Amino acid sequence: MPNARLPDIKLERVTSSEMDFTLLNAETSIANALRRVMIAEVPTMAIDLVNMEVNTSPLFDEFVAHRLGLIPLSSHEVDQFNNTRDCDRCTDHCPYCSIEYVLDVSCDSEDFLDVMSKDLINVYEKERPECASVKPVDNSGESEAHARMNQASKSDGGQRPPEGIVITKLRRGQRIKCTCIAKKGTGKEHAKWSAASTVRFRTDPSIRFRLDKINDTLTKDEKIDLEKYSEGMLVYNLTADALEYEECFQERRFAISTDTIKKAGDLTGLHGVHPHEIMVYNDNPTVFNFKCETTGVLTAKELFFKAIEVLMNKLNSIQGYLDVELEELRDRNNNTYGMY
Amino acid sequence: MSNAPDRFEAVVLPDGVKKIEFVVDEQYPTWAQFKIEREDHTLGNLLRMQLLRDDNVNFVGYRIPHPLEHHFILRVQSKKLEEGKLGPVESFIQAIEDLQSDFALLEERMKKQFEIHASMNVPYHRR
Repeated sequence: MPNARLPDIKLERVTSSEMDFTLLNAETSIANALRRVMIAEVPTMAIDLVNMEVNTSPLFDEFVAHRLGLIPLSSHEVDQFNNTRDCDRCTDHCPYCSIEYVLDVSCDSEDFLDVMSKDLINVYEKERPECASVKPVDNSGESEAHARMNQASKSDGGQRPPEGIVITKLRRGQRIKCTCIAKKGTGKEHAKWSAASTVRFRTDPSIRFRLDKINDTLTKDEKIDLEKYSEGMLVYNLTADALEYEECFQERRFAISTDTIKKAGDLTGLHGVHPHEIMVYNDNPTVFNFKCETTGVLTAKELFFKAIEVLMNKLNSIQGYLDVELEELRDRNNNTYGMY
Repeated sequence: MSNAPDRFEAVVLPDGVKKIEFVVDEQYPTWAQFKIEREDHTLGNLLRMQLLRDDNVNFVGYRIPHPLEHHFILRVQSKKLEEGKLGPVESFIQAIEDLQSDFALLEERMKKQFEIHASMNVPYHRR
């Protein structure tokens, strides 16, 4: 592996639905490929087809169908399902490539009735154990905020947070009845199949000052002047007579502003120092701080490993197809291009 | 919406379409052009950046000719072909192998990180 980068990774914080990690010794292309795959190419399950039988709810059919599609379905067992379009066990859909749900709610009471995601009844539940595991995510992950809310409601006897997602509301005499078919898909096809609600990465600041050079060049007054212009990025240390980075900047919470750069350039320019000498530009970052958050259909850990798996599959398939292509070319040219 | 392309077109390779197609110019054997179907910037940029690390590669570029056509074209020029030197196709194969080793390493190291994290007795995995 002559040109491999040998990247390293460090796990900072992880809960079931959130994860922070740092990618070291990598390049933007690796970080971005990972991000793109985590967002759009990890397969999950989502409702894709809705057969509306009765709908007297205030929302029209397409509206309800769209809402049903966006309900997160826990997809821990998604690998046990085929893609419906190339499932070899059926012609339409079956428990090996889909889940069927029935939604049948009518309102008889005087009050409003919420139709919730937990009202979806899994028809395939008894057919396969994997099918039973695909159910609407009712408390969006075991997020810390949700746990706090639960705790608070238990202790003071207050109202529990509603479980699940409201699909529509019904008034007396109204009814909704439909069958829904959930299929496997990826976020590339439609965002409802995306398991990630956030995946973002941040690099080290691309522009940094050479503080030692600045401290050597500027006078005390100029340093104080620059501190004022730095919008909190720099702190003037009186005892050392030196400018230092502020903590927020060290923790990469913000970058250097253009005004600060301009001011620093102007001030050092008075001493005949070229702006290039006081700044370092890092155009090839190698450290990436990732933060990812899932919708609850997969755990953050699963999302990461599945993303790697998807990337590996991509590379393996390219490799496989290339071998076939090369073989063909060799045959066609009767080994003239032995090189290729 | 009647003329909108089907959403699955970005994902499914149609019958009779090659996943990867490459052209080597007989006049310029140091050039090669790869057309990779149903892939996007994820793989395009990854391969480009990996090929740029290859000392034997003079030029790499990739483009997606049209947003509704789901393929990218990668063009590679290697340095002068000499006895024992690698051509553009060999560089391409090498790049894929390098990327595979990188991601395998990432996976392995992340698994180790999770082991360390679990041993610290922090509850992280609750279904």
